Amino acid sequence: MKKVSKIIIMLLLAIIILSVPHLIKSDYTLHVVNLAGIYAICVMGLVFLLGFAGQLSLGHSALMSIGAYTTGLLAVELNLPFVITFPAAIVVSMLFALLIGIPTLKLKSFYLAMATRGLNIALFIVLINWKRFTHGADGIVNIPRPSFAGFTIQTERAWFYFIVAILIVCYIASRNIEKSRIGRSFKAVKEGELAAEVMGIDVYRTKILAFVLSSALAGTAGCLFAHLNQFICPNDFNITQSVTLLSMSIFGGSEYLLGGVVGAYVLTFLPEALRFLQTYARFINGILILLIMILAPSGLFGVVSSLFEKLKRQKKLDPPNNSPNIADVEGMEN
Amino acid sequence: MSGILPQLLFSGLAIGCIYGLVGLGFIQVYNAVGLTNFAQGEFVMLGAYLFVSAVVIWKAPFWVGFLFLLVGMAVIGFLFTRGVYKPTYKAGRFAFLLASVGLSMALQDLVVLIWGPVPLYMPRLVSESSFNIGNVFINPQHIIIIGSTILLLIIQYLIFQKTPLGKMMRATAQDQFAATLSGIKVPLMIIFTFVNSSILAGIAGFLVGPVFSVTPSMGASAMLKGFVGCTIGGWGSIPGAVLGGILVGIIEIFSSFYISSAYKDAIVFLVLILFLLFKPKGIFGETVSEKV
Amino acid sequence: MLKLENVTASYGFANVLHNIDLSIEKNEIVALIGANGAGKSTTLKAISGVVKLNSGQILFNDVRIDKLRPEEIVSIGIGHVPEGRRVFPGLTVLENLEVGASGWRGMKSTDLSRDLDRVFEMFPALKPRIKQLAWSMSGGEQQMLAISRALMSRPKLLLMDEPSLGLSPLLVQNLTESIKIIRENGTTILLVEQNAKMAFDLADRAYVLEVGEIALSGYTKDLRTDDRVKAAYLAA
Repeated sequence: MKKVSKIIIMLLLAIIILSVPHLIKSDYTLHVVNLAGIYAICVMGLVFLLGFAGQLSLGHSALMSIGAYTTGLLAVELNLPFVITFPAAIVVSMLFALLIGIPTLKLKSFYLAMATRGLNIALFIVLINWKRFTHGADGIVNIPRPSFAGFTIQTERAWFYFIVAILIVCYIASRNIEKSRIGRSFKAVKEGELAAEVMGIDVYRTKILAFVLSSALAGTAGCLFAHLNQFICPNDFNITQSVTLLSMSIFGGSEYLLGGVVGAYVLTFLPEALRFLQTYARFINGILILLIMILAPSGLFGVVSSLFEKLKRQKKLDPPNNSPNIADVEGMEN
Repeated sequence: MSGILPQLLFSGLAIGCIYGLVGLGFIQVYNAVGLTNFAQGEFVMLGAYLFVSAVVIWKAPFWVGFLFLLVGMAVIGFLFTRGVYKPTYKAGRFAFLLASVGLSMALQDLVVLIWGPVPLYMPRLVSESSFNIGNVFINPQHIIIIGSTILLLIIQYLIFQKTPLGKMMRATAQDQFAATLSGIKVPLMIIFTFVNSSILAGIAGFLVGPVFSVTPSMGASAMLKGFVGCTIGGWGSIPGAVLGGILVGIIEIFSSFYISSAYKDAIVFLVLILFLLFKPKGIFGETVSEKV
Repeated sequence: MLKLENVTASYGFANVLHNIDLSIEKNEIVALIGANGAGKSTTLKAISGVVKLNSGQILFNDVRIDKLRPEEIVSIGIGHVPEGRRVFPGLTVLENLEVGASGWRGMKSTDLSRDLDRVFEMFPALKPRIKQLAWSMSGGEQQMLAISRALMSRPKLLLMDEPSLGLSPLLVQNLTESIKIIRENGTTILLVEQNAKMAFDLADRAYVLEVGEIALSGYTKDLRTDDRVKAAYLAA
């Protein structure tokens, strides 16, 4: 029974996803949907890092920029095809994560936070000033569309399927890692490094692994970003962007992969819907983070799941016909 | 050419004093509650804006402006403790950190909303023209910065070492539970700590304003450098934070002169990474005496 | 002087105190003994206002104190020497003592010298080391300092949490003498100890805590001969 209903849900979901590009007429809107999908990939990386392993990165857009510039430079300067530049982008972002992770992850957790912010600032400066290599503030233009065996991903609609496919692959892979031994060791490290060490977990290596995997997702996102927009410049990857990514992950609930995905879509569309507030985007974003941390640090999914748990417990305690007063349960949550 | 070395050292020292003050505020909060306040840099910026509004916009006399800054920063420190620290410190280790990141971003935009995006000019106590001693050109504002920093450090020393309040604050930083049992009002001491550190940041903004211009983003890089200073000095060590900050200032000035001024912040970041790699405990180490 | 009535308190997830009834008369030394995790420290924390009660009440000189904040409880005359000494490591001996006094008195530090003299009379070894940082002292010295710090607030009742922990037999002997002197000077004492032998030597009465409940209580001279006490706490 359960399996059947699961399959039905999956099918429904697939139909909804497949029909999205046919329901959205405007290319611009579809472009925003695609961008949100790319951010969702990166935000899943943050969930990995923050929600699972308990490490904070304030510079994930810097890691995205590594992926974007790697693929952009390889494709434009060396005319390499996507099948080569895509993995290259991922590998180079992972290398950068190693570079930052090795010195900082042995230390207290705020070092990684500050070092990633530093990387964000430093990389921005390098991208702006090293004009001969990065083209400075002008950025890289005319990044080609990816093509496979003669078929080029050209339209926004094609991009939509492409991004959703990669998003699903990343999600399934991440979900499997979450459930595996590695995922459990991430969570053990988050719960307490000392206790994890006693359990025989190499805390330092576990944290590095989490950061490198997280960076791989950021690099993937950066690479897709470059090929979707066909243009990248340093300002696409500034500190504000990093904080926006963070707020996406905590809005949905940093301990839930799907929460991150939902957060990415909601927070990409919210500013689009609230166009008139665009000038205050950073203000609103900052206040949003502040409020989430004060009111519901576990995010949307956290609140919902604790609500569910309360309902479940109530049901177990009470006989079925004496059903609990739902309003009361919700009242407690507030 | 012979005058260039002492001149660079002097400017580095002056700029470094600012980072030292930012770092000092960092360390005091870190020692007291074990947390890093990522909005510390924006407090620097707010100090500068408060002073400029009083003196330039409302045409208040200089000393009134300074008083306004002190009171304003104290209020900000208090509100920060009540509004950000208190509701978040129990909700996991990153709640406070993230909340302060959010606040720092919101504050950068808030000053644009209030004061506009155009950099403001901060009036000086002293004339703008440099004078020279031998062949060393001296910027008078640099002397003000160094002098004020020394004065501030003496005041801080006296507060923390000689007054009952300061001793109670140190006791609270070292062991909150034992402080509670000794009858100390721990929440009040934490408020005082945040107030003190935000006043330090505000004064740093007031001092650095005339050197750079007053902009919404002036705090962000000051914070990174204050942090690097703390790391060089060794987290937990108060003299380490100040000396580390000064060292960062000197590195910054030297690398702007000999390498490139565009890359100076990137070089500071490189210094951070190198220190974390080879001397993660900093020069002074985390002193046993301050934190066990 | 102090009365706990029906005190239930939880600390963390487990309910650690169940319906505790306990009383201390003026100028007594009362011992609270029991195994690790029996709730001895929690009882002291409840009295100090660090752990809030779920139900029941605590009276000090017939006034309810269980709603007061910890610093208010210090100021009405209840001192607490925490487990593991917990002196302020980066403060000098003198500063530790000053903080013990100023926490209680607020910012005014007048009339410190009398309290200091009183403390140095009891622990003369501290006097020559007033400039020394607390962390650099030995365990025994730190224990003296922790007790002295609590005494600076002129407590009428002193709560002591495992003062003998980690001390050599000779030092435990000295500590025992000191506690007697503190009582002679007019301070009532509630002593939490794992070292039941020492506790029985010192105390007039004792309570035995087992998993958050009072299992036994009475005069120490009677308890000493109780078979259960002998087997569980005074063996070897």
